[in-house]
Amino acid sequence: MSLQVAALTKRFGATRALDGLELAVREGEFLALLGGSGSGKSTLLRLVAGFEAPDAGSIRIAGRDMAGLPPAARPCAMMFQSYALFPHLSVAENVGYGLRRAGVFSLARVEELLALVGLAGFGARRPAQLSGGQQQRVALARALARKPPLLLLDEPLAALDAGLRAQTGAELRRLQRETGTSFVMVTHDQGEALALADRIAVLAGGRVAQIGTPEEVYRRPATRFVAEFLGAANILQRPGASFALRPEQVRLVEAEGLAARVTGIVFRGEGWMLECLCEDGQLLRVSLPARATPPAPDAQVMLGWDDAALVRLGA
Amino acid sequence: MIRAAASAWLGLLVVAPLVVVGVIAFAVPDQGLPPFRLPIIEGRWVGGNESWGVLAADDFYLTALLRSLVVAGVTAGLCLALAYPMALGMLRLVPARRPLALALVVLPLCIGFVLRMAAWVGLLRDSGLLNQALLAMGVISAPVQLLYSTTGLLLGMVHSYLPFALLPLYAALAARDMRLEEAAADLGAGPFTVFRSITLPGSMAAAAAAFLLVFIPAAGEFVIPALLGAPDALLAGGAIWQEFFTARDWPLAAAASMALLAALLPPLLLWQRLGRR
Amino acid sequence: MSRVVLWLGLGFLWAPVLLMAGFAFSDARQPFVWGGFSWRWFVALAGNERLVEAAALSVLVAAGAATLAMLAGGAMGWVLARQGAFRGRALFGALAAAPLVLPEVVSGLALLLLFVALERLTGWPEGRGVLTLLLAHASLGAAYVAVVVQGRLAGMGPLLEEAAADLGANRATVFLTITLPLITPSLAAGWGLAFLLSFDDVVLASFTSGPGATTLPLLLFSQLRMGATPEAHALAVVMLGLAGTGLCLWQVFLRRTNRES
Repeated sequence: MSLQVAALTKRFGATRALDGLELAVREGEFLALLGGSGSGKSTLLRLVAGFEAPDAGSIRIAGRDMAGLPPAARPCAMMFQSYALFPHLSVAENVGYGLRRAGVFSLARVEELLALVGLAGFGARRPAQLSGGQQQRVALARALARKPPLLLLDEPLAALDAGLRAQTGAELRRLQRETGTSFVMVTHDQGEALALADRIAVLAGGRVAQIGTPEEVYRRPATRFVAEFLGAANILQRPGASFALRPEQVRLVEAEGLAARVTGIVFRGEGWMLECLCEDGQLLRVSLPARATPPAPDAQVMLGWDDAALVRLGA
Repeated sequence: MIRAAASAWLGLLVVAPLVVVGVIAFAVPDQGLPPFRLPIIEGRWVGGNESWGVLAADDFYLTALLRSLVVAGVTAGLCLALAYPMALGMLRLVPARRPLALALVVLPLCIGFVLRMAAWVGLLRDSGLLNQALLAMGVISAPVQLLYSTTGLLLGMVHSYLPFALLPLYAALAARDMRLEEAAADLGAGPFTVFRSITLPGSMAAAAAAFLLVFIPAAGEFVIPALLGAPDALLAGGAIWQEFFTARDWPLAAAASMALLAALLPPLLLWQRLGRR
Repeated sequence: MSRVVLWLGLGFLWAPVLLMAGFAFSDARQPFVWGGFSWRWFVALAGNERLVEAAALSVLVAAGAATLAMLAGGAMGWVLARQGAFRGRALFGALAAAPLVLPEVVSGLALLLLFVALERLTGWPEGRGVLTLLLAHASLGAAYVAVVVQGRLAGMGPLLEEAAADLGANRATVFLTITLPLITPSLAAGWGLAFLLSFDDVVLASFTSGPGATTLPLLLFSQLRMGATPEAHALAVVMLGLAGTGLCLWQVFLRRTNRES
């Protein structure tokens, strides 16, 4: 296990940022910590890195208990959201900072790292001369310099524009595979989490609401929160239970369906998202592929779905 | 450990002096060196209140203190009245010209405080340049008493303190969000309305801070009054100086200092509150 | 309209200074009297031993006080910005800023009384002179440096230092390799500010200085009360020239560093 978190609790004043959180990250795994603001994901990262101390619970990295250890003594490295490159040092000195502290600085190793992130030959430049994407790669190389077993990434793709995001995400994944380091990536973007992670842990209210592979978490959400957060599922109430129904599982049928009126149509590029108001007042989201012809606004439609598409939810 | 060293520094050079002033304010004047006795050491407590009695009873000191506050207030007001439009004017300049304007504000300070006051002495004398100019223009028929008068004092005070009101005000106005005014103009407000409804209220805190930044030190000023002010209109700083050096009444000087500090406490607290917003 | 006030205000600030400087070239023996063009007062200034000595002393005291102020103020600014909440933090902050808001008369008197009391109790400091003056100036300068450094550190945020710690640097190394290089410009600015404050100070010097430690402002002040000499005019020109040159060099330096980055 690269990381084991048990019963982790952290309070800020009256708020509980983390509430008895349990988490285990396997070696060589890419884990995404997904959650909205206030879910505690950034707090968790800071606790693991050692910038704050938990009120209760334990953190073990590569089997060692981290209690009382300052960040400098912990075998994990962090990639900050704002990169936090040292402006007064060159790129090479930035990347080699950790190596110097450990007494193992070598220019060869620095150049090896720069080549790994695609910035060979950039060693002499200053951070201020680099673009945002380049700065991020320097931050990554710097974090990977000492081959840490665990790398913590704080919203690494948030500052990039949409086109760069996909490309950089893929590079992160490639690097993770090549170095074999465990990556724990905090994000609020479900698309990123689904695309990059081996497993996703959905955080809510300071706890892990569900953890599993992307398909598991998406196809079989455990709770209402997870279902709505990941993929904006429709929630259907039946006596005794709630069920999640993904918008893409709903079809427009000719007959024998639920009657509804189309109240909103949004073109999404890869498809259409319809909002339909049913007779009982519930709003259902329906996702249609791009090649389909959407109905006219305010049209009366019939909605149908397979019973197998319904996912029974827990609490 | 750095904190301990810094605390020791503060303890020696900030706390201890103020404590000593407080103690001596309750001492009794005496001959010899140093010119006071500490009744506490002699085993009695009474006797230290003489200084405070004098301060309270004699109109002289109260008048000096009030006069200081008034002069400081007028100085601060005049400085603000000049500094605010000057700051706005500087902001209206092309950004490339602004460093030059800043340099022009700061350079006069560089000949030194004493020489600047010497310039005013030379200007304001009965035979000085200002009187000469006024006589030559026929505005007056005999030299006007400018030096050693309240007018001269205020001229010197404003000249000395103006940059200290202007620079922070300029910095604060420069940092404010221009977009608010752009939005107002976009919604149809004319330039004067924009100023009245957006610029002015938004810079109130900065203006108040600049006012206090001049008022508080000006209240204790004694060099400028000594050089330019009327000799019979003593200010608080001058009173303290006189008691200490001329009358050698250290306890009274200490007590007067504490009275001055007490008078400045309300504006100081106000300034702290403003700074926190 | 504000532009008019701006030029009027600048004129108000500069008029006395220009007049002061202008009469430096006058041949007359009285100040502020024109007697034909002459360089004599510059010559007289250079030969005026008392003035030159006082100026040299002022420079030395200012440099010493500024250095001391930089160290003490830097420490205070760092404590206030980086040490989070500790017992007495509010008091520490208030005391650190106190010299900025206390009237100089009160500060001067208080420091003098302290030095006298210390001398009676412990025999140190011996009389008033360069050391007491230095301490007084440093005490004021440190408050300014503390404000500047605290502002810089607070504005910078602790992120870079956290990153350094994360990469394996202990607290001392973080301070030496990251914090210190980044606050060096602020420390330098604080040093300069403290230097100027000390060099130009009259009030604190009149209280805490002693015989044999007459600074330039003190000398000028006493001369002024007795009637200024024209050498003061020449001095004004020299100061203006030095300041103007300094500002130009500063601009050149700024432009060169901007071009490099």
